[in-house]
Amino acid sequence: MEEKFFIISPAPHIRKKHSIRTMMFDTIIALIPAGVASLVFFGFYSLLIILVSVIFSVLSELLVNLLRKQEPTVVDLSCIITGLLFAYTLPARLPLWIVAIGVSFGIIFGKQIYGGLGFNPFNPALIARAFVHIAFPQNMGNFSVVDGVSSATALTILKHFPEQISNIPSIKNLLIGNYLGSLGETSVVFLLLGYFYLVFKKHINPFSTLAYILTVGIVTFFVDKQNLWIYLLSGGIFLGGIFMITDPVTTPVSSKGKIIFAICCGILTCIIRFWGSYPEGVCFSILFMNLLTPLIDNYTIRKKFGFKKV
Amino acid sequence: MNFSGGIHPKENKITQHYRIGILQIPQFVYLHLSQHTGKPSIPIVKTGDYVLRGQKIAQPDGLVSASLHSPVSGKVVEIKEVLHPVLCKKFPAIVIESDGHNKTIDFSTKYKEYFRFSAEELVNRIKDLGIVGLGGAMFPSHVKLSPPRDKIIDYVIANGCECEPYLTCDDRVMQENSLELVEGLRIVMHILNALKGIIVVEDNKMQAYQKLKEKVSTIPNIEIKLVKTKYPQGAEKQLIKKVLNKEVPSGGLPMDVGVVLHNVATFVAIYNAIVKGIPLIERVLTISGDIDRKGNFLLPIGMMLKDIVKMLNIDVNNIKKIIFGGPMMGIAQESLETPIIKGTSGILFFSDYKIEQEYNQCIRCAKCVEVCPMKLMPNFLSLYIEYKKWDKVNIYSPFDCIECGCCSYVCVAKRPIVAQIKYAKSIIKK
Repeated sequence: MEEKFFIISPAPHIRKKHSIRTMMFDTIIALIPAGVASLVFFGFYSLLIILVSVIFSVLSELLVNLLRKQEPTVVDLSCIITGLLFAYTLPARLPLWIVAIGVSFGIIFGKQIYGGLGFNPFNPALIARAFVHIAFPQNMGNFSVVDGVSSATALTILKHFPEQISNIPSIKNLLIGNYLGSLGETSVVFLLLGYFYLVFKKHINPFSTLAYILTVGIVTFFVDKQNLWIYLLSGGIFLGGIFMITDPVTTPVSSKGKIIFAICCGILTCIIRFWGSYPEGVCFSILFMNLLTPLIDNYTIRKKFGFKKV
Repeated sequence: MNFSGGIHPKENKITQHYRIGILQIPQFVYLHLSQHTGKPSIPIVKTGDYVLRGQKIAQPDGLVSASLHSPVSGKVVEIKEVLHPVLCKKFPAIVIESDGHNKTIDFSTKYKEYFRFSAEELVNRIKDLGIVGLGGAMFPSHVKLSPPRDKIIDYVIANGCECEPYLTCDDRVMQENSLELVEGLRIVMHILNALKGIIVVEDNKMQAYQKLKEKVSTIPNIEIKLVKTKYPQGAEKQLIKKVLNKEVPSGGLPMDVGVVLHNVATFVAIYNAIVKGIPLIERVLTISGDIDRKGNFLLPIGMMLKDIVKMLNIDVNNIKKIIFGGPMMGIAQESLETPIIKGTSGILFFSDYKIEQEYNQCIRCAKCVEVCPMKLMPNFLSLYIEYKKWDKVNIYSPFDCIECGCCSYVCVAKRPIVAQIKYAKSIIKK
């Protein structure tokens, strides 16, 4: 009898049927409600921003793949998330060419230059956002939806024009997102839908989001008790807290590390908001903490099973 | 108290209701000299000798080693190198050609009333009859049963979790040999002077649970404990945490927290050895997967895989992969020229198997960290092993890994984490 040989491979011989792609796909689903809300509140133009952002994100990723002569990495869908997240942080009437430049910068210099997904120390969407923030301050500061009239966000009013405080929308509108602000940041309720979906799918640690929002809440309570809800509900607290400080690649691995990361982000956000020169601090606080992720990882190694305190 | 981590793979216990069957006696059996943890046994027969079923053919070399007995009657053909199912290399094995008569040695024993004998005498008897752990690790039982004098054993646990998917042999043993199991447990409790015996069953084996519950209703110091199904509950440290809420210290043994733990089938083997005088020459194993004739079978140790395939009429042309053991921790076999050994708990045949050779960069999703029952950080181990940073690897305690495979199972980047850790252990040891 001729001897037949069988496949050999190391255990385990069964694997859970999921992959990076399905995980990213779930995140995209979680981002959809906020995107739809932005369409409703800011009109058709916001769809254009989202589309341009996603398309140029994919294109710049493909370009890098081409230059590096590698298999296309767009199939893991992570660049679509970068595109969506970046679009959600933009004012509703930002010129489309700025969107395209910003997202390409984020993908190329925030992610691919380090080697692609898994190697990037910073959240690419935030790199893109920080880049346009510094490169195009005029456009980024204008949150008007009516051409020719420039308007400010609630946070800008609180920081620079306290006499216009009556222009700040009601708590109800802040919750559903019917006010001036960045595309996807505004609708807290719809962002929360995404949060619950991701928690249900076990893709994010629910406590880091809570820790972040709580920290911002507590610090704000001691600094400006009156406007606590405005500080919490407007601006990027929820978008950042749900989708950016839970980004797996750029945040610590252990749950303890994640909580420390979230708390530090919260404190930094408040420092920038109250004492820095920008009205909003979510973006820079998370980017700064991304830098400290390896350090936090080094000091939050889990205590193994059977570890005894001496 | 639940242990942290763990996973819930699809159970696939297809053969749960198949009674333990037997097959024809094969013409040849191949008995590996190394089918236990420790030094290989030393053969005490030579080519041409006639041996009876149950006759000792090899004796232990030192304390951590085991005896070996012939499962058939016949002639010793030769001692040759045969593929080993765990070590995956050729190792010496005693080849015996069966004469088909199955003549047995006299099994009669004076140890029937075991309580009249001292622990030492019983342990020697267990050593003499070649009992090793049947759960898969094949640790010689007499070593576990002779703890140092300063270790007081309070609990004896019979591990009936069988948390690996597909496998049902322990389930069947608990149902069909419940009496032997309970008596075996009492023998071990007598040997160790233990206060309490606990048989742990997962809640996907309700029939076994009911059956055992009936059997122990009159025995005050034995308890049957039902636990929620979860992998790897059958790992000894995790089981002790679950049942007694005691944490075996890192690098320690269950006896350090006053526990001795065996697989249920091992207790049955101990009962057979002490009360019936039968050495460990056969075992129950599950044959399952993408084949027609599945089931649980009592097979002689040393039976060649090709004989099993022939007797069950399995068409191997459709089979891509054969696994000895369960799908989570079992070992893939490349050839049919591999005999079963004392620790083989199952043979799984799979017809569609895709090899995942490519894996991605770790995206630090921390799913492996969540499921690791030893609370390690497999992601960092995997990363540093890939780049051969051995000093970094050591920080993340690779030697605490129990190789359960949960990390590889959940990895979204399909990284072979547990295989990497096994590799690292072998490198660092050198």
